[in-house]
Amino acid sequence: MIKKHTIGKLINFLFLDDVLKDDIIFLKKIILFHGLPKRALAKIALIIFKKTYFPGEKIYKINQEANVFYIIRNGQIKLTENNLNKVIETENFFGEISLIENRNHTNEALALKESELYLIYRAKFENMVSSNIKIGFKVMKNLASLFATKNSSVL
Amino acid sequence: MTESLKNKIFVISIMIFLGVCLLLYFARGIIAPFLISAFIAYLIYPLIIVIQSFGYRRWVGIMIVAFCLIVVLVCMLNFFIPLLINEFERFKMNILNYYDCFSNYIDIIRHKMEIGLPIIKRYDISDIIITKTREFLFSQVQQIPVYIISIFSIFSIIILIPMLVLFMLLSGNKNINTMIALFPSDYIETILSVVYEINAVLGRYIRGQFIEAFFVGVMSIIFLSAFKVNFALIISIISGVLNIIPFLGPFIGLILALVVGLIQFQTFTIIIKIIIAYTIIQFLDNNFVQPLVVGHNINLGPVMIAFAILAGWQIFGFLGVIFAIPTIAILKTVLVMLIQKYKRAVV
Repeated sequence: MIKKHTIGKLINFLFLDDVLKDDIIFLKKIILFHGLPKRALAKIALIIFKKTYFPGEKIYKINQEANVFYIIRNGQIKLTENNLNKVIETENFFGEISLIENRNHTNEALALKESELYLIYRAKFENMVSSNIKIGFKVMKNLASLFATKNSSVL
Repeated sequence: MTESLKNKIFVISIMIFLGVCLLLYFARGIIAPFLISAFIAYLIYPLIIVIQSFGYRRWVGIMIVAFCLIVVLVCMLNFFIPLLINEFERFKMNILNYYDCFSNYIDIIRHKMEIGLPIIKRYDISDIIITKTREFLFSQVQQIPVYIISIFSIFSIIILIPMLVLFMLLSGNKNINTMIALFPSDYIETILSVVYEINAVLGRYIRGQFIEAFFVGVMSIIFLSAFKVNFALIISIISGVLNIIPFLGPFIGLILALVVGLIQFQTFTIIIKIIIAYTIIQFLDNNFVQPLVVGHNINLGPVMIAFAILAGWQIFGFLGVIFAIPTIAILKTVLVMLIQKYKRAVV
């Protein structure tokens, strides 16, 4: 019994990608990806670009062309919009305006702590999502409800 | 700020352009195995991503794809290599007959034309054609296998290319990502978009060309075998490979099939049949296969394509011809993106 368990663990260790598995578990917690199947999350994890930002480092400026949206893996980010500051942490994301084509960032992002961010380039994400209508629809639904919540909170 | 961003983008674009040109020019002697490896890596990378998306490590994906490829290759080589060697041997043996038939044809045409246009007598056009063809047949054609081997030396084929493909696949985007991470955060979004666009253009082009070459090759085999044309396999493989070269490639394949068909059957019916077959193949390729696999994104005008091919030939030879279009497509994509950014920065 113990032998079988050990062999299973060894096979998992040899063949299965732990980093990818962690990323999938992490992405599952992100509101934008709620309801997505494991394989779709794996595909998203495979197109992620990981970058560490140091304290005080500017991530993007206001009115900069928006091509990428950011997910916070670790750290703390300050978003500034109309002189209002908002601090967000792990499992949050920002720069979602980039998911809508030809827009500029409406806020400014700055790293407060050393932060590991997951960057997703819009065209790559669109390409991946558009290959499966169901997944695309779920993402769009999540995005729409997110913008709706934002608008209602503004009103 | 706007002015400085504008200048920075301009300087960076010029530097990238010059840097890439210089690097390729100076490294042209050793670039062939790298280009071929990149070509193969691009072809099989999506398959590895599919396997990875099931949660497996990258090397598992590489091993599965490599195993499948080796099985397919061994089966194909077992079947095709004896056939190809047989066809080449027959071709070598028949070359004299072909030459005699060709000379007779030229003589008949000369005779007919001299009756119609006596002025032609003054110029020894037919003699020139016959001499040139003789030179070509006896020196160049027999050297084709040697020429192919010299481009892809045995060392490259057996050791270097598979190793390079393996390393390219194992490292994946790691090297590129490390380089991107070195850029200041202000430029990350721009660099990511440029890299993605280049990757997309290249991937689409390479995978598209492979599928197109395969399609044209298979269709040529079907038609030429149906017409019972000799050396159908060799002609079809050449037609498929040359299809990568726009305009000129399909035409060379057609000429080859026509020459062999005409000499073999000595009737004009075969010319019409082959021309119709090749037109059908090109029609299907341009209207159905190409839009499906390559898309309409590489919008380069005919003049630009002709320039790219000739420049590629001038600088890198045969490989330059094959890789001219993706290079120009990449440069165009990058320039268009930078110009768009420049415009937005100015506004």
